[in-house]
Amino acid sequence: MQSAAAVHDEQVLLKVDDLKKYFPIRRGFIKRTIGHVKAVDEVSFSVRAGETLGVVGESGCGKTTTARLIMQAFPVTGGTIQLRRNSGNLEDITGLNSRELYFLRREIQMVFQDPYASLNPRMTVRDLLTEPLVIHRIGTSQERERRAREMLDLVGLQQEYLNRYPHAFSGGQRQRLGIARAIIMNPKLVVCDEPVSALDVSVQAQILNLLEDLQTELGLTYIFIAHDLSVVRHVCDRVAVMYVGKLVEFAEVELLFSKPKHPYTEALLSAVPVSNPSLRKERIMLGGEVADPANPPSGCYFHPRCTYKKAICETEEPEFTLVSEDTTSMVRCHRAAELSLKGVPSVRDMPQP
Amino acid sequence: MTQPIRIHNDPGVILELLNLRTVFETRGGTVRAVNGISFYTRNDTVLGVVGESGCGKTVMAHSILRTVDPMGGKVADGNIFFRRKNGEVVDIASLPSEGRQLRSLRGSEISMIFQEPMTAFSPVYTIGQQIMEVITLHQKIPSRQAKAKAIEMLGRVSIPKPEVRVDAYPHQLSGGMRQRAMIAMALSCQPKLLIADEPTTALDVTIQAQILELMVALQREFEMNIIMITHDLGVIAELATDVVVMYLGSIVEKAPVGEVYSNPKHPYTKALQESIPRVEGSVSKKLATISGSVPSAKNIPPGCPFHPRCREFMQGQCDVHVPTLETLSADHTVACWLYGGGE
Repeated sequence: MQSAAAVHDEQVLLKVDDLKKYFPIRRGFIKRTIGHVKAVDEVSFSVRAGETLGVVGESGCGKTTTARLIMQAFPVTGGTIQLRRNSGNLEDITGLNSRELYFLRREIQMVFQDPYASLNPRMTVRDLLTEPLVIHRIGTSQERERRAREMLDLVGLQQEYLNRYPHAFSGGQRQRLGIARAIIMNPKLVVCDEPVSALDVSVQAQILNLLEDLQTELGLTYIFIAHDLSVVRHVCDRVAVMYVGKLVEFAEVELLFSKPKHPYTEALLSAVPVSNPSLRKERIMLGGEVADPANPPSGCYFHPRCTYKKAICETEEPEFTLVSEDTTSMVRCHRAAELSLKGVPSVRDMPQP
Repeated sequence: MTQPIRIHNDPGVILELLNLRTVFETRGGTVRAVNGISFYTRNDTVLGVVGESGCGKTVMAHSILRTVDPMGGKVADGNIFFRRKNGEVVDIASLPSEGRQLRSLRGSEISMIFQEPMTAFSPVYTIGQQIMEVITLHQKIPSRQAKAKAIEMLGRVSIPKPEVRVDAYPHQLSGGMRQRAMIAMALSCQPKLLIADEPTTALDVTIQAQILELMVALQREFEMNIIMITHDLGVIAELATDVVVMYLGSIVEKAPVGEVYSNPKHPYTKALQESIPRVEGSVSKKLATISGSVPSAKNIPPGCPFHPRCREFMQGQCDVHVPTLETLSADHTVACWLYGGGE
């Protein structure tokens, strides 16, 4: 597929090819496998060093599973995940043994959604921040403490907080700790799984700005998983849209929001509440619910909810291909070339104050 | 501070809060969760209540239902006037807690839907049984009829195959379906006031759009008043007709929805607007932030509660004197010294 062109691209930090994760469904006394939930299926994309790649989709679309596969939290069913290691080469990280995984963890770290659940309430900030260093036997205890203090500075918390426990912090501060804990290992790639969805709006803005500052300062690469499209539009460079385990669209952020190519992307954009009452709009109402990944529909998975479907959509599954020769946007839709879909309102549509 | 009581003169007003204070006595001190708020709402409005966590919006909702009492809270002061279906005006704040009168209001005249539909339903009863419980509690009808009514309500909220789903347990439904079932349960006795506490926060955007659409349609159909509590300014912009902005237990601004977005007055409202990333229009790379975070309701700053985070803070005024709600135009009120609030 497309990413063949990107293989030689020195910029690529992570390259995912034909990634699959099937969870078996077991029934009965001997736990016979009677089917599979195709949580992630035929997912291919690449992440360039220094960029923020957004992964969006509704719950159950496989975005978190994709993140966990990249973290190698569980084995893949098929496909490869190549990461540019310290050696400078792209190496497949699927099927590493536990010792190799231990070294991989220095290079990929994760920021979790719920800052209340992701910090051990019995550990002080000092213990929380230095724990990764202790596990990886990095530095002496003085050096670790110094590094922890540096991290607190970096994420905008006071150094006096070292002896406190997580309960003494607000949600935003806890998320700062979660971020500090992720970057203390100096990773190349940080997978952020819904990092701001549990936070208040004014705090959300602080954390988004912090993530951006850290990216500029430390040259981090983010995979940013989110369901909030306005946040994605703000922080991401490129966006992957997933539906029932598959990628349906992959494009530069501005292109995706102004000229979506997949009907599902259009419907997603249309569903976002616009924070301007004078732009209340006719929505494209998606009927029904997300298809069941254990028993997906025939043809294009989206066809039962799609307003543009034709006969071919019900029988044949579309390929994930380039929209046209002159763009880099990829889409999985039979009618992508002929449809002209609506994006979000641009500045021109706004009433002038 | 005496305000005119509108509910006695205007039959369209169905709820009026007057200087409501709700407190929680804790070992660490008194938490003034709702600190003197007044507003009224009419039967044809969807009132959006917006604010960050800890601003008292949920406690305000629970005060109206008086469900703060079992949570350890107390309505310490003020009135909650509510117009019952029979036209009689009662002051909910003065009713005995857990009395018969309160119980006859809850679920039948005032209903509430919650953010997390999984925890709001009991996992060991079917949704049908739970909806029937509400119906039979308020109406003397046999259970067969109550079940028919439950099926009808599930159909009204567009749950496919309601006659099958009525026997489903909450875990067998998706999040969106559970929230629909919750709405069906809340509306089963045709309440006059529906309080929705972040009803779509836990849902996906496409499902959120469906639920919001449904709520707007039901509001018209049932001619009820909705109080929509949310932190999402987008949701408010989509569906509210009037907006109340809360901060640390106080109302800082109240206005029709168009005014709040096109002509916000309070520095907090302005800052909130600027700090949200937008899906529409152009993208500015850096978001405006509000410095610091919301202080604890245990020690609310003196003067204007927002003054430590305010960009237009005036020394000697904002940190000393509490601004009161000042009327700028017919429906637009704001509590800020920039607009001369106060006596």
